Amino acid sequence: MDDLSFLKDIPDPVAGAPGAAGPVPRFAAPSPVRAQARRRRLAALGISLGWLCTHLAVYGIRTDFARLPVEYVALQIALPALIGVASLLLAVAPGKLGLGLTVSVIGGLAVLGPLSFWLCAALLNTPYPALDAGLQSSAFWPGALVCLDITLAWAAAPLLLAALVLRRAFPAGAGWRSGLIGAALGLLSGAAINLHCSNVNQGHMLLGHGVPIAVAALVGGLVVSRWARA
Amino acid sequence: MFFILAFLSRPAQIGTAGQSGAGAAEPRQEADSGALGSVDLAMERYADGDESAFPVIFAELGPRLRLFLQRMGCAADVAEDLVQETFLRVHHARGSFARGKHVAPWAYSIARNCFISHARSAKTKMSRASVDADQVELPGAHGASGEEESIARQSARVVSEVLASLTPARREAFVLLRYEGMSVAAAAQIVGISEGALKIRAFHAYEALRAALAKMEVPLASGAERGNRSSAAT
Repeated sequence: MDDLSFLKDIPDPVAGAPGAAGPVPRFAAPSPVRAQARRRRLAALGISLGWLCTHLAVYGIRTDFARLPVEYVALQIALPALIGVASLLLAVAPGKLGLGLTVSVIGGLAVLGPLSFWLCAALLNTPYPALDAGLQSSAFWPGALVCLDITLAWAAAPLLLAALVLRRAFPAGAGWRSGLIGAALGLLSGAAINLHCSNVNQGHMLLGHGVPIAVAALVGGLVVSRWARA
Repeated sequence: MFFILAFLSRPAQIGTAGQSGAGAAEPRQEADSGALGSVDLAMERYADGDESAFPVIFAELGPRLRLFLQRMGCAADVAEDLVQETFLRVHHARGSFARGKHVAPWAYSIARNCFISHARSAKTKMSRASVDADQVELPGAHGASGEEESIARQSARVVSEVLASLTPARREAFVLLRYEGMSVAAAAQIVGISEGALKIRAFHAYEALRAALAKMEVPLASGAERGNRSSAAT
């Protein structure tokens, strides 16, 4: 006997209700079939990567890249990019039931991804002394705000595309899954700005490069989810 | 507390248990079995663009979703409207239906979203006591004595009223597990919470319903076992 069979003690109040289906609805508006949806998502992914790469090419790779320690590059650039790609894939993964991965996995990733970026930014030793070393420095706030704006802009376009191509894609866990997509795109933008900006000040990294990741995750969870919920 | 812990430790499904209780509907468990059914294959075709598969999906899932929505507290006409809305969303979301998966959990999730949208709408008023037991042909009523039929109707009314009085979170947990044949894993994912949290919600709903039925002294199938459980809980 199965373990929850005692629930059957409770009778069904509508067990004898009519079971016939009503009139079959007819839909005037066409909807994308699976092949079209897949093509649109791949196109959006390509455009998003192109968006980041084009801006990176125009803005240029950071001037101190050649003298950065390997672990610094690995933790500040490669790791966020890797987590971003993995988060993106896991957010759209169908899972066992076709409803995505469990909320605990998705929610955990949506929080831990940005957190890992902040921890690396806060705890990793700077490879050389930063020029605007303190919050009191006159160069700190303009520099941080410029990077914040750029990173937000770099994440915004892919997020908009995600909202368009993932319309009605998530019947369950839409908030967390969209939040994870936002976090993933924020992490990719964060990795890109780390590849461009040569400011190693930890405060600058946290504010200018890290805050947009949290903003992207929140926009994903609170705004994109409205489109993505089926 | 002891019973809640024991309840939480169960790897629960109710689908294969024997029929018991007046009016008990046999839940389906196809959502967790490996093989795809005809409706799943129809959804595969529909997601790939075969419009002729839609009536098959609607005929299979439409009545189930309507009953689900009625159990959730919608009046029959509201449930019918929400079924139409659900299938409109199914139509728009078909491109996102994952290949090789069962359609039932996916469709229930969409129906649940429709229900939540409806419930949140300030302009709509849900019918709390939605099921009129006098209008429902109760199982067990055929060939039953007048007294048995009366008890069946009374218990259906009590269940309906208690379900309506529960919080939506507890009600949907119980309805999905008890009446819709979902496994705990599937129901938890549809609701978007952990399996443990879902079990707790369903357990609280069960206790409320059991207490209400006990008050009217409805004979329940596993009364002895339940009595043991109650004494263990205390």
